[in-house]
Amino acid sequence: MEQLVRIKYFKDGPITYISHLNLVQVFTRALRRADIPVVISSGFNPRFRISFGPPLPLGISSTSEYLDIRLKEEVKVEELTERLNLVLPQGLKILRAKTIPSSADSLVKVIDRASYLIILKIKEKLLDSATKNQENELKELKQEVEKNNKRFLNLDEITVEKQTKNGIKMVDIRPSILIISVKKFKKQILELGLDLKIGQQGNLNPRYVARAWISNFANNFDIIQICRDGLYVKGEEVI
Amino acid sequence: MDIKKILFEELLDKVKKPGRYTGKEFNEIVKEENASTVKVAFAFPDLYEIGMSYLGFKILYEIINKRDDALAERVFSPAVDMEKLLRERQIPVFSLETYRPLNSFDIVGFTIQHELCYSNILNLLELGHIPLRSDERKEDDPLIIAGGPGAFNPEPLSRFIDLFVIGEGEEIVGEIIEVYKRCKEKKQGRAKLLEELARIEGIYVPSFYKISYFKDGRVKSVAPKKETYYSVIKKQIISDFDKAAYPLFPIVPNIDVVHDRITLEIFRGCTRGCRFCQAGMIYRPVREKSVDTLIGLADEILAHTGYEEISLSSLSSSDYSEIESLITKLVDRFEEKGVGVSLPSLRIDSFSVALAQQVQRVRKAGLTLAPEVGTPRLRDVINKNVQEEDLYSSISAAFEKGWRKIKLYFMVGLPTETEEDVEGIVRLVSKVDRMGREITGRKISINISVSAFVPKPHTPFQWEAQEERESLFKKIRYLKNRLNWRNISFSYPDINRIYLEAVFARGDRRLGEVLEKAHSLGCKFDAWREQFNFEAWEQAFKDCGLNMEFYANRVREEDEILSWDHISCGVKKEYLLEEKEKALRGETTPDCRFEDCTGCGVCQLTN
Repeated sequence: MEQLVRIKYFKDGPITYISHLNLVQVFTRALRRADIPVVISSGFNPRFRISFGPPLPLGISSTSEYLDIRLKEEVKVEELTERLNLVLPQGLKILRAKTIPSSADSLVKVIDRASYLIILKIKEKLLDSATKNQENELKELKQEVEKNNKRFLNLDEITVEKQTKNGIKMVDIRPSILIISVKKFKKQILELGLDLKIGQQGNLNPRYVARAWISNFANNFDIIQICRDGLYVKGEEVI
Repeated sequence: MDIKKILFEELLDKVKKPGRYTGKEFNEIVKEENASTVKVAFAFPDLYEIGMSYLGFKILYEIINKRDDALAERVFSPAVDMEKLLRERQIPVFSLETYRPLNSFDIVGFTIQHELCYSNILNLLELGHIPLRSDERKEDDPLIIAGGPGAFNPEPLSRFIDLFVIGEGEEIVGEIIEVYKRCKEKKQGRAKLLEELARIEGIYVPSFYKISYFKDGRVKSVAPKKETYYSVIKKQIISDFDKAAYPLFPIVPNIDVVHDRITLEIFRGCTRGCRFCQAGMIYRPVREKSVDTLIGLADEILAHTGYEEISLSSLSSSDYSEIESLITKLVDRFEEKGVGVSLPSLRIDSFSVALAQQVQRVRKAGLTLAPEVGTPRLRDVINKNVQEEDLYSSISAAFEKGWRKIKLYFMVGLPTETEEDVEGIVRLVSKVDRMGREITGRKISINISVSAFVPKPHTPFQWEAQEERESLFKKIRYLKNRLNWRNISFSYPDINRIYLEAVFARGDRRLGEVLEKAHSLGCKFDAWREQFNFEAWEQAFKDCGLNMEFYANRVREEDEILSWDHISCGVKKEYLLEEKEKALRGETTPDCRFEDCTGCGVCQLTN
């Protein structure tokens, strides 16, 4: 009996610097090392029947990525998780796995929302003056960040330059932004939470949003890290 | 300096293909170490995706990392975008395993795969903050060693390399580490270390030899500076090829590399005796691994890597004595897992086409054949030993078995070549095209790759001149025009690069100065079309008062001392000379596996 398994995994570190196509190959080889009986497509170039959720841009880590694997015969999901975790390269780890109906819609079809954690660092010059002029100034800076964030969300249009195959294109990214909020601002580190619409209509790179946000705030921050921390189907976690 | 932190926080977002610089692939080895661990860097003078395709380093990486007293890590040439960032911030080039700077290794080992990577060796030393010249290095600089096919004429690089390893590295690498350790324990310096290492057979320390020249530039003598040094350095071969260490845990790259598959070396060496082919001379004698050994290796490596393809590697795969049995067993065993077998370097005969057909059961692949030249006469001169009938019958077999695409390799500029031979290539391709249409009932696609002959050391053609560039260019242009059909794709090399390759292939020690000059003019990645700067090379030669024609286009006299005469690959010079004369007479020499001994002399290495 064929079995369709949906897997949630984690991606971090050096492995975030590979393309989505390479990631497919990394998983294919790991599945073969683990000797998992994956269904193989027929044709000139037989491939494993696995399919992924929306691709993650280069250099962005994630605590919730998803992958569907179609198996030739039944395997306990705990066993599959354990065997695969033994042979994945550094930076990839299966968090959980669940058997889903064989006819289930694909991940890219159902996932409609992604959340990101954007970690920014205040530029040195700003920090120097803030710490020198005591707590008050830092508080003021916090208020300013909040205010700026509101202002950013109230914009009707946020156009950014996007590098495409045919050169640079101007794109309005506002329609993709659902929420952006200040999560934490401690010492020189600012954490923003960002929710984007995602799915068949598009998959906006959160880096564009982060850059636009920073440029709206006099370019006083550097991007330290971006992490995808959730993918959702109609407000619910995928599995 | 925390290289890892800078790399991940600042550099990776600014370069193309950042996966080249991160390491941490499956099967990468990061070893525990202590103060006495001998730290070896394998420096590959080209990009990650080229270096990671190379079997030799995988073999040595595993051999060294298995030892308790040593570790091996990888360093590749950074691409130009990364090089710029490293130079701007004065960050030394580093290993992928521990992000350790190149200059903090004990030993740096280069592999020299071809002549067009020489400038990259200098560049990598500089990027590693290591003095370029051997005689400028201090006690705490790494020992710089080099091996691979390029070591068979070591002279052009002798100014920069402390010692060369001639021949197979599997066993000698352990001896080098032992001596290094002993010298380090006894706190003996660099000079003493080199003295000790020079006693090992197969090791050439160029600074221990004095080369003198005639006024016209020819080599007058090569003399060891002490009587105790070997006057001829003999290639080392491993004692038992079947049982020799083989990488069971090759690193599985996370990004695309050129050869991204399991490589099974089925045999080493080739005695077909093509007279232009250096590999066919320097890797002799022929030694095979048994079918059982190979099946065992395939099982293990597949379990450790999860690759989807196993490539059988050798200089001529269909010559493996039990090739049919091997292929049947491999295909049967791995078909169900979706793992294919591929067979590069096929000979031209119907038997080989049948083999190619068999491996297609899992994955379809193209068919590549190398007729090399256009006429039977010239094919005899180069000792290709392929009959015209075999060529056509194997191609028609291929079309009958369903191939619609074929790749053909040719070479121009070979000794004795005439216009008729060049015209022969056109005739041959036309006939293949016609056969394809007749058999398949439609147009087939033909991929033609034309290269130009480069005379290489240790071959019967080592005395020959490379044809003048102008004339090579004319021949290639002629072929390109004549074969300018829709169903043909035609590729050919940059003649200036082929020329530079010929200059360095038979270069002498004086070219060290030219290399330094060219490096200072920014020459690097000469094998890459977009980086190659021939004008800079011309300038470098001019500045050094040396002449490229002298090296590339000059016929060597039979009694001339060749700048690689003190390096022996086991094949005798008399044999090469005899082969050259037979070539000019159009006589062929059979393969000693099927007929009598040809007297090349290599078997003395095994006795």
